[in-house]
Amino acid sequence: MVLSTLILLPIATALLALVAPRSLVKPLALLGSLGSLVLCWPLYTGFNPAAVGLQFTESYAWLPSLGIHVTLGIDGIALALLLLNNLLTPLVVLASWREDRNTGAFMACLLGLAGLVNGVFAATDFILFYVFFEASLIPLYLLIGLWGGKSRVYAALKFFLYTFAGSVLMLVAGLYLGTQAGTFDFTQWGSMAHALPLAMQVVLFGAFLAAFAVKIPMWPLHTWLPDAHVQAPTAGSVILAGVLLKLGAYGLLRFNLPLFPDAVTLLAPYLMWAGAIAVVYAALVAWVQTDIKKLIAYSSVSHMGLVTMGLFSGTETGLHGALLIMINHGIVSAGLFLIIGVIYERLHTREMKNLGGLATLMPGYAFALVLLMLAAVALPGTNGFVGEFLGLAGSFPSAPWATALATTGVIFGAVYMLVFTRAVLFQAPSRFVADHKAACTDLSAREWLVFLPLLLLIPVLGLKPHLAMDLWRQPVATLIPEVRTLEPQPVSPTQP
Amino acid sequence: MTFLPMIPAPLDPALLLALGALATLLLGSFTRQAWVAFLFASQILLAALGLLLATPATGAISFEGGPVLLAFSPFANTVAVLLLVLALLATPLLWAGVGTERRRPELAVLLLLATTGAILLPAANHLLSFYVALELLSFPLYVLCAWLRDDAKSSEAGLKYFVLGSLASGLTLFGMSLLYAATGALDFQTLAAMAEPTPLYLVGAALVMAGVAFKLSLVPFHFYTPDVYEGAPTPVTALLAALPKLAVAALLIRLLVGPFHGPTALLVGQGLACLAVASMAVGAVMAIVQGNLKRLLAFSTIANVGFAMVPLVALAGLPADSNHLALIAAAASGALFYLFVYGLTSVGLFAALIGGNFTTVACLKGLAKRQPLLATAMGLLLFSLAGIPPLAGFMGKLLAFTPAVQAGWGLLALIGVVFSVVASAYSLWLVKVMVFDAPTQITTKATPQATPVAWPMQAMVAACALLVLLVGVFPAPLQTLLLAAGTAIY
Repeated sequence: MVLSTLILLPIATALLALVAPRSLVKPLALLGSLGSLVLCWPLYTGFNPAAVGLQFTESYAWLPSLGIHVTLGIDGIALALLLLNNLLTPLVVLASWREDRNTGAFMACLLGLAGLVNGVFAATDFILFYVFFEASLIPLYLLIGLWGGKSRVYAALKFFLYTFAGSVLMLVAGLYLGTQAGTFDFTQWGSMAHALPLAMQVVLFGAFLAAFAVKIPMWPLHTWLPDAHVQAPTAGSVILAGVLLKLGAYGLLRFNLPLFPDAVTLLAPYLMWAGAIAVVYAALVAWVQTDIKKLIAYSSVSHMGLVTMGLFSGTETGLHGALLIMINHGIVSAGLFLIIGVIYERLHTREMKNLGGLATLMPGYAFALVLLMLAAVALPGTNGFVGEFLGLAGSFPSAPWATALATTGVIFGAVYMLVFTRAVLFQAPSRFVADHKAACTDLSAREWLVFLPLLLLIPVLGLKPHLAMDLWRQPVATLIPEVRTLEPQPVSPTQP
Repeated sequence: MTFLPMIPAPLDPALLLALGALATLLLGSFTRQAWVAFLFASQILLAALGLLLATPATGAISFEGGPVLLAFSPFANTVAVLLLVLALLATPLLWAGVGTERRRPELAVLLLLATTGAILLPAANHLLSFYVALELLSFPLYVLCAWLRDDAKSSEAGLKYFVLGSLASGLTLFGMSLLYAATGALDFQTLAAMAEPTPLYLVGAALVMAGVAFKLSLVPFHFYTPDVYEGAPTPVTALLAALPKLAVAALLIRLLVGPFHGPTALLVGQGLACLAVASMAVGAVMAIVQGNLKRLLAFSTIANVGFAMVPLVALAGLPADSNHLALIAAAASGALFYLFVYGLTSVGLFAALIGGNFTTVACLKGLAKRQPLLATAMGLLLFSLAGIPPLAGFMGKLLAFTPAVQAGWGLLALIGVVFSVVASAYSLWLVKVMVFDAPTQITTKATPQATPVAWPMQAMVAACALLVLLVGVFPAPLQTLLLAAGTAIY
């Protein structure tokens, strides 16, 4: 019952927020999002990391004649992402406390999104997964389009059509697999899918990849992301970077890797190269940005490239690295977008040439920014280091050259993050900042409350990464044999 | 329960509607009060619905031991229930949408007559009853299209629909005569038994299919659709999008598992597949460039009927043995589910158009700021049209495409989903105009000032949106009902 409550509570709160009187909307939204965070506690404490298979399972009839059921259940991977999502939601609600344009609808979108994303991580029925996966587009479409920046409409449409086009291909592939297997419970698709001929596996793998590669986003399908990020309001960016990008990688872990091992063996080298290119290319593009939000958006593409490499590395280390980067990126990029939101709320600019010298004006803010920056450049001791190290170390045996290329990208990562920090904090204050000195007040108590959980998690996960890794050790171990046992068999053209 | 002792029970609902139409006519000519006629007509529709739900009578109707003219199967009765629901929903639209000047009792009479034809069509078991029911459905609609006689566009729409509709009927009749020449039979069972892929039979089948495709607005028989949709009074457009599409599709299902089954199935299926792909493509692409809302929805109809044909293509090629009965039922129910949901969505959207006097896309600018509730309801309907879960439009696509994939038409389903992405663009565009754009105060001839939508029409839109949401989240009841109907098509 916990999982279904975790899905329904935020959605119910969202509906209430739509009709609630204006003054009650924000407390209601905070209460609802904190409620789902509290609900995660029994999940975390009741979860048995050593157990094989899904836990907290629930099942209800939905369209029984087609074999479609509302089945819920989580493993360690899903649990970690659920925790991340439900941690971020109250934080963005708190961060958007000053949002006064149509607050009811805004909070409804945020909470609705949170509930739907919980659904994505908890669903074990393909159709249910697709429903949540697609329905989550609606609130984000509205968030970008209604509360976004100047060219918000273009960005919202582009975001929607890109992701929608990707995911309908997945729908057809899922319909095929579901009708072949006689059930839409994708945890039972394994043996049937493994028996499919290689060509079919590649086609289905491609269809699922189309949906998830757009969402991750994988180079060269990433172009919607900078547009969406720059135009989205802070809360939208935080959720987009923190959680929604993880849906793509989560989908790869749920469908592509376990279901089509032969196709993975065949295509992994190319995908790892695509990941490596994403790391370097996005880092270089981020370097030359003058809009700091766009810079962080490209850094997301860069980090997700490393996730792609780890996922397709075929090693346990690589998978652990990929998952850790997902969680860390969820914390750090969320924090960085909040950092940008803080400046934007005060100065209404994101241009580097309009910033500078904020270290002296806002020391507390500078502390938060530097800590997040250090995590983003993967300084040892921060959570970013563990993830990037494991991701690169896991990728190296499978694709040494691609990994070498990606490692240079990590250096560029340090470059653009330092450029960003200098531009905001340390370069001489611009005339713009000098003119608006009064607006540059340090973080308020509410803002500290938003940043503290994220800032605390940086050293905690940096020094004790096993807190997270223990959760998913079991599912990762079961993913690997399916990948690795196929490595010795070379794929020859004569193979059916 | 028999309505009249000498009339077979299964005919009761249709008879009730036909007699009700006559009574409404009498009532109207004595009182000259439109509201009396509308109230009476809606009671008749309700009574027929109640009759069908309370005592659904099945059975075959033949004339003195001759061939079966009408076969009232559970399938026919279920489709009739859906049609009556749509007609009932459209009644208040008809009342509100023609203006006080032309609000006459005869409107209600024509609605009842069209509904009579519509509910007889899925029961047709004979080329003769097929033709009569089709014309009984069409003629009231021709008149309704031209109802605003002082409006040049309405008259043109009526004329255009009538002339082209007559041409289509002529083609259908000619096709029927060829089928008769090929087999010497007119009833569906004998036709099915004697079907051979001879040129005569195939040409006859093609001509009958052309007539059916005309009523369904399938490309390339769609040319009248945008003009008629634009010119006809808006509530009539809503009727056109809801009633004939579902009724004719139900008839098509019976044709596909009956006379056009067996040796001719492959060719019919391939032909239908071509029409479906062309409709999806033309409808989805052309809808994007329309500035007139009714023309946009016309192309949307064309695209959506194309989507609904996907399971029927699969149905055409399936052998009618016991192994495939479940799949046939799934395909038939998928198409019906899709078109019923589409009918609901259309009625909701046209109700908004009527209420707000919206003619062009620009009229919708900033609707979310002016009337948030209405914009929310319309947004739900539009997202449903785009096939976004968890709304009914998604369930419709799921239930329509799954049987196609099961039957081996995966490629067609793939084409279908690709065009559903294209088709989502115009829905999203309308949502964008409603929600993201700022309201404009400029009134030009091209964009007359939209009026605020009064609460009755708002309630209609909201009711349709709520139904669409409910059917999307809890599809099982409707789907089970249609699946049961799909197992007893004859």
